[in-house]
Amino acid sequence: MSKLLTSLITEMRRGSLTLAVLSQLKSPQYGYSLVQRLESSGIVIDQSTLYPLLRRLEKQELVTSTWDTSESRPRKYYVLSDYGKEIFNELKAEWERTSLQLHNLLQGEEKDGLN
Amino acid sequence: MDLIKPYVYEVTRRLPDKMQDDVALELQSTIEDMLPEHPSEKDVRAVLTKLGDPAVLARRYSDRPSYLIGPALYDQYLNVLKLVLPIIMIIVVISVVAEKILSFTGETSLLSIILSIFIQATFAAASAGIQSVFWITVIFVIVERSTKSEEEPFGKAWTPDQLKNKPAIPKKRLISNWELAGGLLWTAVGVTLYLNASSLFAIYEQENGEGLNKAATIFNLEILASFWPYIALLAGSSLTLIIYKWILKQWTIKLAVMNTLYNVLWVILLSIMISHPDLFNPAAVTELEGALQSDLSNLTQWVRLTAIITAVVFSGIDIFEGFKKARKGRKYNKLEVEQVD
Repeated sequence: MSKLLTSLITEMRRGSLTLAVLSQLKSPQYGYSLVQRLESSGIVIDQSTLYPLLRRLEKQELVTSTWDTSESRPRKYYVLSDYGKEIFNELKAEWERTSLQLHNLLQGEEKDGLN
Repeated sequence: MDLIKPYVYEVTRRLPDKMQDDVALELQSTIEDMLPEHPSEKDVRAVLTKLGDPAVLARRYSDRPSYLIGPALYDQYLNVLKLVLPIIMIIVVISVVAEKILSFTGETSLLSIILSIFIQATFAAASAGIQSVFWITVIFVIVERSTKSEEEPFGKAWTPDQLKNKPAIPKKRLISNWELAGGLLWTAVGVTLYLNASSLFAIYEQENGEGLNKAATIFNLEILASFWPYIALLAGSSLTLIIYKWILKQWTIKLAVMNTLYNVLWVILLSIMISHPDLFNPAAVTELEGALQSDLSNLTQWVRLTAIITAVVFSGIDIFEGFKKARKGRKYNKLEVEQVD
């Protein structure tokens, strides 16, 4: 894949990453379990992007975190806050609108190509 | 060999104190999560490779931008530099030149004083330039760090109203600050040379090894003093022209005509002054004739002629340049006029 295409794809995905992460945080998740959940849905996330992103979301008060030290190794769990849920729903609606619009655009372009 | 601890340390040492422990603990447990049971060094290496350069990871953790001056301020930064640098450097050069000329006592030769002025002015301009760049940069970095990303730096969002005071001037016609400063410097040097002619232009003699002694001034000081209205007129019209250029900001045909008038005035007045029969101090001429053992009456004529021809040539070039610049970019202006009509 050309370098330009890779960078365009990365750029396109970057915006959707927050939404993908928020969608998986209705129940508490720790870093690696989150990575696995995202990867099982086919979303590959750069690990060096994910952990800083979680921390930023916490700072923006969209998620809250707790340390669980009861197991063999301590894990930091993240979960959506009430405010986070609110924002997530708005983002989700916006994403669906955008993807519908884009879908129509791309469909239209295909039809144009046929005529 | 334990690679995990050094990796975690490499990340956290770059982070603010208050988040170090938390990030360290999370990173440690994440890495362990990613590893299989009883990992080999190869497994550890694979996981750390996946996490990537600790410096990059640390940069993503920290909120601080990894640049000094961001895109929002960069243009303003460049504009301030372009505005301030020429002004500061020119002021420094003028003050060095003036100070040197005013403190000239005739103990050294004219050539060495010119050389030392040149060297000192260059150094002063360079160091003032570096200082200005440094402090302007520091100020901009502080502004960059202290404004939050959502805020517009310097408060105002852009509106079309801001275009009102920014006429589109084709670059070729633009009068740069350098051009203005050059004119100012030229005028200042000219006036200073005139005012200090008695010590600057003089013949010095070595007297029994006790330093130099002024034997005679080259110019006839009384005649030179009588020229003051001419000098005042020249300096005044030169300053007027510079101010007019500064207001206009670009070359126009009208400015080119004014520039022509100024140059003609300058050549005429210079010719009047330099062809005055008693301009040169007879004592100095005799002194030189004695030293060189030759008749110098031809030489003074030759000096006069050269000075006038040089002035004519340079003024001619300046007049021509003015009209050339005024004509540049007229195509663009014509288009603009047509659009308005």
